[in-house]
Amino acid sequence: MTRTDMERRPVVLVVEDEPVLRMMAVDMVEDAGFEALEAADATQAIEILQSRLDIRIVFTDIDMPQGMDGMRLAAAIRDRWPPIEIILTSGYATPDADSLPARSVFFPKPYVAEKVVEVMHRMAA
Amino acid sequence: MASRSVSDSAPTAESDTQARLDALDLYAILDTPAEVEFDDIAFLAADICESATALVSLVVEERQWFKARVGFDACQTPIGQSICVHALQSPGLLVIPDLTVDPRTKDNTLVTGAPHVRFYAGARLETPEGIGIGTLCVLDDKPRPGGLTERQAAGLERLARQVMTQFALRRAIQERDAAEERRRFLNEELAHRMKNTMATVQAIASQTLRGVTERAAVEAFHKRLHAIASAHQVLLQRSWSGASLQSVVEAMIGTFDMEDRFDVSGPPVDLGARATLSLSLLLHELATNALKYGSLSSPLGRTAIEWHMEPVDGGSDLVLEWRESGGPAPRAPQARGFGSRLIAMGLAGTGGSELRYPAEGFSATFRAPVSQVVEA
Repeated sequence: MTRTDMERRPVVLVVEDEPVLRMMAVDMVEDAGFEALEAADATQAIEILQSRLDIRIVFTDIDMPQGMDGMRLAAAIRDRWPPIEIILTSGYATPDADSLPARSVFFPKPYVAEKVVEVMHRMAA
Repeated sequence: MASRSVSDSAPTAESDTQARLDALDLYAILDTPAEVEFDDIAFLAADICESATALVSLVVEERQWFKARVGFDACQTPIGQSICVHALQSPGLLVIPDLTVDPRTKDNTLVTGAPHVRFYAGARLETPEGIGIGTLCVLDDKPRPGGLTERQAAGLERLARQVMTQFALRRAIQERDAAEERRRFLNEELAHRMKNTMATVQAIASQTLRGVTERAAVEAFHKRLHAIASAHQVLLQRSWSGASLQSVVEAMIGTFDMEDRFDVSGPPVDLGARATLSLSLLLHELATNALKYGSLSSPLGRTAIEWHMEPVDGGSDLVLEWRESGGPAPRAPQARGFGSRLIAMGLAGTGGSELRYPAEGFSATFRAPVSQVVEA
């Protein structure tokens, strides 16, 4: 492994349809020392996942009215890109533990940035 | 198209038919599985009228369908075979002593062929608005020139009213369930929007306050917003109807990640939505202070949260104690900031707090009438 590889920041893909919330999430991810990519819906997220092979973590909203929701996106990621870690968030009631994909973590909205970042660091370690 | 021609000749006006179909829709009973309540009534009708066959028959457009049947194989017949359709015309009972001679029924295939029905008596099933939707009827394979006895006729009519009572009860239960479902859905939707709004406020605040150098104030704002948000989360678990005091305390402790530093005890108490919110803010401020200046600021300090009910004149009070120990000696705050004002507002936002600063640790007693904290 070269030095630059070791210094490369882990990549986090933020999927959120609300622009203001996405902006905040991207700031949070970057402030925590990660590289942030952003998608406004699941379709965009899948496109990015197909073109970028260095994504470590996907942080996605569950409730997105356009197309696939975050739960289905998460299931698709588990299926097609198993090594990627998944963090979910939603303003709805907390989903049942067995409806969440394996190794994923859920945060109710509004989430505490420090706690989400803590999980991201643990996942990227 | 035998059934068609009989249907055309059936003496039901178009408007009557529509009213009947609407009523049937309302009761939502068609094509539902057999239920013992209706089977029982059909058996009783057969018994009382000493007949082998009894039906709870509902008359639809092209068919009659049986909610309950005794001694009859088909679960429905084409409308052309319906005798009940004639019973719909007028309230009360229709008795046809010999179906083979009555012009309305002599060509009916149930009469001319198997099962060779000869006698019919049907009590109209009537909605409170006076719309006939079907009958409770009995059939016999022998004509009965004398019809039903008076007792049989009265019994059949009473049982027909029982059928309608069962329909009405079913409908009331369905309506109640549907209303409950709508209420639950709306609550959830509202709670969801509220949380999204809070998330947006949080996002706007963090963007707007990005350049602010006084980070402590920004952080205090974020944490208070989260205290409210976690109270919403607790409330959402019971469709916003309230929360247990225990769950509110646990939610607060959870946000501070200090489960092992708290000693919590108290009986089960249900809080209303308002008290849930104000108590969440109160506990948040107390814990924040404990973390900054009190027991939670030193590695071995502990905080006890205890509550109980206390009888008072004309009711009882909820009394909640907050007691810190093992931390530095506390000092009463000099300035009266937002935090201390929130604490002074107490359990229900109406006061009733007593704060003490002895050397062994800060402690406080909060008191509010139970009636204030349980109402929404």
